[in-house]
Amino acid sequence: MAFPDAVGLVIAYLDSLHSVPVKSRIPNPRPAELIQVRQVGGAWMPPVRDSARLDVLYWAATEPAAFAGGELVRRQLHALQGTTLLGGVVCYRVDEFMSPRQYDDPLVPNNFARWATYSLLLRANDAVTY
Amino acid sequence: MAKLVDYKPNRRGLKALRNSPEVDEMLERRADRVAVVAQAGFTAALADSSIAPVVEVLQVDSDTNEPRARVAVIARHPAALRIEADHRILGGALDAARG
Repeated sequence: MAFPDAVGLVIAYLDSLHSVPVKSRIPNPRPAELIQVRQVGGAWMPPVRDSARLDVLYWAATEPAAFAGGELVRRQLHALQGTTLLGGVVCYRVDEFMSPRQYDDPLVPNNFARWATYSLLLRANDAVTY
Repeated sequence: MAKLVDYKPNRRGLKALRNSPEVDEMLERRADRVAVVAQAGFTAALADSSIAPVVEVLQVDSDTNEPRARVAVIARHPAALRIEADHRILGGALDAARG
């Protein structure tokens, strides 16, 4: 693995902490409660760091549940800084690109979600050994 | 042995720098690159749709009390937020500002 699979690692990490499904894509039908993690940018920072910008959306059946879930995930992601909790990969920094915000989809009834974007700076151990 | 050097920031100079035409032009060049990538993203993502957001670069005033060069890249369309949530086109284009 030259570069860490940030989405896969974060999904596995959150999946171990939640009973709620954690996916990169929204299943059809969407479960009442769901955590979605998707990569929306990032760049290699030579020689051995890789930044990954990740959207994290917390969907829930009620607005308070979406808020609480979004904030819990927020704390859990910040707890990654300076650890190897992502499958042994060093996570140097966690920055908030966009803090959790209300995301209303007017086309979907009973739609409650919190949408946030985080930037994770990870070690890419084998990036220079390709 | 390395010598310690006193660093005294030139605050007046820093203020002038961050509001200088050169910094403003540099930001605009980066914003133009983001806008080009974003416009291409909208075109590709919405090829089967009649929706056609127009991406613009705006020179905007600073939201601080001090003058500071600042630009914004926006998508003009009523459905822009929904498209952004689904496709993350503006957010994804941001990496074009690097370098």
